[in-house]
Amino acid sequence: MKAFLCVDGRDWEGVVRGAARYLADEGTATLAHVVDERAPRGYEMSLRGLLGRRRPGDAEERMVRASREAAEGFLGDARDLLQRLRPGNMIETRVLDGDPNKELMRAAGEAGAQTIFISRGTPGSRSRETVSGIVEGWNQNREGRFDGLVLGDGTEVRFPPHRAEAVRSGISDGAEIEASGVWQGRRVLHAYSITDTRNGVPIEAHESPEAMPGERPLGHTARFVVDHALCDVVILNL
Amino acid sequence: MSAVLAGVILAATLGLVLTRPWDIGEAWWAVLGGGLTLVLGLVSLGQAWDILLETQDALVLLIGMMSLSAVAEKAGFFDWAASITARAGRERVLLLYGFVFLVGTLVTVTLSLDATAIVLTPIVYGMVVRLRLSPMPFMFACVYTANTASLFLPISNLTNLLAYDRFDLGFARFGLVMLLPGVLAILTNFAIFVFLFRNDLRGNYDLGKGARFEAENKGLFRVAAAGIGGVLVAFFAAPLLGIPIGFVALAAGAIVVIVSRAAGWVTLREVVGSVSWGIIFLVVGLFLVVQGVQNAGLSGLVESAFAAAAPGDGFFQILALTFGSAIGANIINNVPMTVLALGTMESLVKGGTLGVSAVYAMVVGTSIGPNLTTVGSLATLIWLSIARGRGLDITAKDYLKIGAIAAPAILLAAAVGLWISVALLGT
Repeated sequence: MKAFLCVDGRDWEGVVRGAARYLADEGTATLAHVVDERAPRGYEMSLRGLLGRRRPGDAEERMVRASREAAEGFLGDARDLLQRLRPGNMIETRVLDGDPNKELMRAAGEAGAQTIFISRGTPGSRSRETVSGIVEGWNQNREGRFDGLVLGDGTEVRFPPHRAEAVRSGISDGAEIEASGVWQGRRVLHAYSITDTRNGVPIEAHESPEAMPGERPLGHTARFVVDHALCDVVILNL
Repeated sequence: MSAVLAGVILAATLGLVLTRPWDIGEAWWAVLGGGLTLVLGLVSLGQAWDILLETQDALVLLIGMMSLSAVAEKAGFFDWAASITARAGRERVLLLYGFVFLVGTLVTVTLSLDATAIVLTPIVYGMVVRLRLSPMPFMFACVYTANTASLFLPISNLTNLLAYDRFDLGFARFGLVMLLPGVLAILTNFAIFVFLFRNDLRGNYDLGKGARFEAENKGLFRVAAAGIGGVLVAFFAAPLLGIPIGFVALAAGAIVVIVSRAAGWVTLREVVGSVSWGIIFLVVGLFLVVQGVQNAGLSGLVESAFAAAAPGDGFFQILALTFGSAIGANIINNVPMTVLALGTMESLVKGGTLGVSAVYAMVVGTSIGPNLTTVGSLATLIWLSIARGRGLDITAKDYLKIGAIAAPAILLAAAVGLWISVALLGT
């Protein structure tokens, strides 16, 4: 088995212990970490706002170097731990630079990975927002079932087709509505509830995450890997 | 005709300073604008001399503090501060975060925002990655405290210095009036960030070997520490003796550099290379350009805007001036905004149309205001990767919405603090 383990400074131990449960006694494992260059780039950008000040040329370089050294440190610890848990495996470590999502995919492809192990990661914030407007039209899916309404400013408020009857019976064309949900795109709201402002009665659209116990959205890197990997992916619940 | 010329020079100078075309530094564009006002006779040589006299205290102080900061950096002072912070956090990420805020605040207050933004930030970054933590929340903490904590003392920010010198605000008085706004701003800033970064700030960290600090040169470390401690005491004492604080800083910087140089611990080249000399040309050039506008009678519009904020020390006046100058600082950067505001506010304050609280409100806005664009820039980086990972379509407008979370709340907290402070202490 060729395994590819994506680790960072906080989750390396959990990923190694979790992956070890699935690894064969003999095989190869690649431990990889992508140095996050956003912080050094952010530092450089913040200095640009300080007019007239010197910009230490090597600071960004020093920061990336510190990141690489730290990565080599925890990758070394991760290798030692995996070697103890699965002594028959050949283990290599890789410190990568660049966009974490793309680099992990590229390196996994290079390593010929059959299974990628990654933790859920930290999900990005998806705060609930409310939009309001006048209903000017309805959207239908390919089967001709209603799955969204369109507001005057072009915003699409999306609901699942099985809730179409409830939504359309409570909301009519030209009604002023308020919809609560999370953005799925610049003009697409994944609605949890839609309310006709005239009667104030909310109609449930998608089930809200709070109503689904135990839901833990994937972090963006884990989601990217799941979406793009050409091999098996094991998401470790750390 | 002169009004048109002065207006064009101001607009062009600001545009060139902010965009830095052909990679030519902002100071050169300010010098070009200032030079043109002199060559075209929009500003007299006498006025130029007055500008030099007026700004010399602030600029000399900056040079002194930057020299001191350079020696402190070489002595490992900032590494020592980071090391203490790592130990003080007692292996709890949230507590560590609190101490990073505290150290960022103390460094900004004592050595100015330049020291935090330029020197402390990469050191904290190095510490955090060694501790195997996510660096982004800590980067935000450093960059933000550099701006937010720069309210406390006249020396904490160039914009404070310029206002302090122009209006003769009094060193201890400034510190007293700004204490409550500063504390409220920092606490608000901390609370917002703990919420925003809550997922990254959970749990513990392993102190390990990465956080121990041993000064390589104990003598240099002692000299730097004594210099910083001494200059702080002297800042409070000097105004009572009629000694300008610029002289105090320059003297302290010079003594520390001379002692360190004589002992062979630092080279003059190192110290000179660590001073941001461009700031001198930038400030003088901008003052000349603004003077040209004032001479041409074009500053009436800004004066009317300030006057419209209504006389007195009321909450809404403070709020309007704080937010107004913060918005201005985000559009044209805080140094040009301060230079513009000082020129127009002087006659209004002296004429009694505005109270001195208006000057403090302007200082609050120009100090904290840049956080809006800073968070805009940093948030853009974060959201770019998140958006790409999710395949979402996120526009520049969305980035600005994220960027607008923290700065207004911090500004509001500081404005409330200033209003209470002025009501209790006067100005």
